[in-house]
Amino acid sequence: MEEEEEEARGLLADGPDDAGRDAPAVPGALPALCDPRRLAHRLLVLLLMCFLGFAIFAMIIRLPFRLRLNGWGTIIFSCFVCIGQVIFALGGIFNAFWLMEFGRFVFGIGGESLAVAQNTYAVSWFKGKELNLVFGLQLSMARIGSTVNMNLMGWLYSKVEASLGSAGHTTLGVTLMIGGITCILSLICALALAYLDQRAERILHKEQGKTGEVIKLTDVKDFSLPLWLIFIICVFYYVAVFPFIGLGKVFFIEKFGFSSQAASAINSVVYVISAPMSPIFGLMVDKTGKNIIWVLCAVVTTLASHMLLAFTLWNPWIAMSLLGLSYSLLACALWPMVAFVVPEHQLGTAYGFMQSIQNLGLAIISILAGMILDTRGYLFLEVFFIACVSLSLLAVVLLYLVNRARGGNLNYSARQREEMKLSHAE
Amino acid sequence: MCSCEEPRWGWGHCAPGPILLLGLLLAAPFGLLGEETRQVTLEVIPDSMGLPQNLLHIRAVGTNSTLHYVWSSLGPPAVLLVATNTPHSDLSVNWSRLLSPEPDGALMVLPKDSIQFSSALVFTRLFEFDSTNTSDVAAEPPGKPYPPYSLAEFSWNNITDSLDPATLSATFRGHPNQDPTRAFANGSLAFRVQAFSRSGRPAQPPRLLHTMDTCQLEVALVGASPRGNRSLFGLEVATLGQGPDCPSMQEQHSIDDEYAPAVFQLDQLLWGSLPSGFVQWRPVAFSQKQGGRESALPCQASPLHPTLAYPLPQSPIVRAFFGSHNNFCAFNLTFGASTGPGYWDQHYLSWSMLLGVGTPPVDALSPLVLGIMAVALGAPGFMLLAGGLFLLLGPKRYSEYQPIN
Repeated sequence: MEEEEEEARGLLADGPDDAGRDAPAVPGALPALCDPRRLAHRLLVLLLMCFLGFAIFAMIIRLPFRLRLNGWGTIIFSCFVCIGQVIFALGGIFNAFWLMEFGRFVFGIGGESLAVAQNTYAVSWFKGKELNLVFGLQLSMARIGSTVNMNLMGWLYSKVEASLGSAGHTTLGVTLMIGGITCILSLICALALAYLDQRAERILHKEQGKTGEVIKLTDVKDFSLPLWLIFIICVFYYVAVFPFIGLGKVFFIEKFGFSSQAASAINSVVYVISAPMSPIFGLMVDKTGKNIIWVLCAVVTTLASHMLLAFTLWNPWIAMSLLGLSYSLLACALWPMVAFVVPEHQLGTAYGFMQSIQNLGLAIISILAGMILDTRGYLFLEVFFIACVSLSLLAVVLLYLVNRARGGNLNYSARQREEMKLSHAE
Repeated sequence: MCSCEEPRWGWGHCAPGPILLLGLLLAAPFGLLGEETRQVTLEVIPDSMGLPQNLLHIRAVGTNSTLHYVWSSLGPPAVLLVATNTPHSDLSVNWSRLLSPEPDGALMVLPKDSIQFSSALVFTRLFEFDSTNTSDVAAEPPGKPYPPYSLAEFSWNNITDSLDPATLSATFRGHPNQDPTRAFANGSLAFRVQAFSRSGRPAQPPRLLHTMDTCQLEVALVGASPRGNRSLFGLEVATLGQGPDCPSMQEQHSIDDEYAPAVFQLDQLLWGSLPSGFVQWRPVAFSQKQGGRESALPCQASPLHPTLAYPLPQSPIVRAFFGSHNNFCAFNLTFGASTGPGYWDQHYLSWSMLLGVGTPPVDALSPLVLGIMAVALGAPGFMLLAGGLFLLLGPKRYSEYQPIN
């Protein structure tokens, strides 16, 4: 409570009633759910943000693209997503593959930018508070969306096929159209978020314009060394997770003798674990701080997991569970670090750039991974992924040393951040 | 089959004890291994009238041992494997007796008391199954069987034409004598034999590591018309047991699939406790000539079961060397599954095996993999150490104290 009053005071600094700094200026008694300063309201906004992400990831492909970010921008991106999904479904109904590709392209323009918008919203509302938890929850919802998609779409397709009486492009199109309802959900969330954001700005006189106003490519030259190291960690980590999961099913069938269903199950355990664990890890990182140490733990655990899979015949459930845990931990600890090293007006650019190069890395490495697999086999592929994680680990170590040497704030414990905030407020 | 649970650095396997394997590696110099190369000669032995009869004798001479591989297509394709402990042993052939109905004693390796190990492999039948309604990959049999082709009733080419001294190889190519359905009108079943004078690994999948104590056989079915749309082929192999029991068949699971992508297993047939003869193969066949992951077919091997001699096509070579009292053991190999790549793609099927004496070759991690691992694990550790030292001992740039203003 104390800290919220403090923050409200800070935000109301240029209000008309400047009668002494000690008197808290509460502009009327709003119910907790409607008061932008209160935790309950922030949770409502968090809920909307999460469903925004759920809907996106339920239909997502990854395309790098960044556009202007503000309330209206988010609504526009949501519209792109809905329109893209409709075009995609129409391509199925009319049996035109080029139309489907075009639909996915439009979807991607909106979807990826919405992910950036999500991150920026999160920082705008939750910086200095429950930011790690928020990132965890967002990731969690995204993974739930992916899992729901994987399980539901097949079932939905068979139901549509049963009612229409034929399998084929029409059935596919209808299924996709029904699935696109979640995109409508995303649009509703975007509208609600835009409204709440504007309302908060009105009530709190929050300088909304400062957070992610215009993305300028020239901002890239202002990025500090710690930020570039964070980018490197991000890219080299994720290229060792997602392409591996993509190629993993046959690995488990051939090396460990699993059946097809068991191999699919173990492949999805990373997502299944990250759904509940991401919020827990987020909370943990919020309470303890020391983000770099957590990132280090996550990367080392992933390295260990890949080594177990490559060099032993131990039950792969162990290694994949470790991978799921470390993947969740990394997301909760790494993404909020960007907010600590980048000024607020460059945050959109920073997140957009991070998403972009992450996707670029994934695209390139996915192709490379397939080539390595065909010529050199799974062991060499695993060694390649271990090398990528090792590069990420190198970047983490470097980040820790640079942060330590420069006296940076990336590795502060939660208590130290509190003290910093209090000392700044005085 | 025992379960493969024990993890070891490099691989886990079902062999009877890793300690035994280690001991054998240490004891290797005292056995038939330990020599660097062998002098290999290939000879097609003509009969008493000077006509070539498809009897190929491969003689691999080391410093104090000799390996004799006698390949023949008299009757079903068969190979005689004899290991002696002298570099001067040789094969003697009595043609008139060999071509008679009672060929016992027609083949001998002299001096007889120098023989350390001898056994034989006979390829008796080619099976074909219709897999259209089978969904289970490991079903026995993998589909409705068509009448098998007996390899004793095939007619073979003259191998003198296919003898290649540069690669130390020869190819037996055959087709059925009676072919009412004209299935083999444009096709053949080929047995390509290759001997080696030193260790190496061919570029052709499945890239089995060979030593100088082994020779390689590649069985290829090319161009024959299958009798169904989704035909799976199989091969029946018969062998002689060393005693009353059959030789043991093992599956070795390993972590290393560098040389055969997505194949993590090596199958072996061992005739007795080492050092003795072995057959080694990867449980994979290929449906394209250049091989590769997209044309890889799974290969199932049935367990070895003792069988009476009379149902099998008889091999005069085996009877000539071993006499007629023998206990045969047979197993079946089946290539492919009802889904995925198959013989139907290009009417091509190939499977390779190694036949040798001593300790079966074992794949090891390549130096590239070891190098990458060393760098991947060493570099971050080194960086942490160096950076930590620098921070501890280097100039202090940051003070814990906050500036007052």
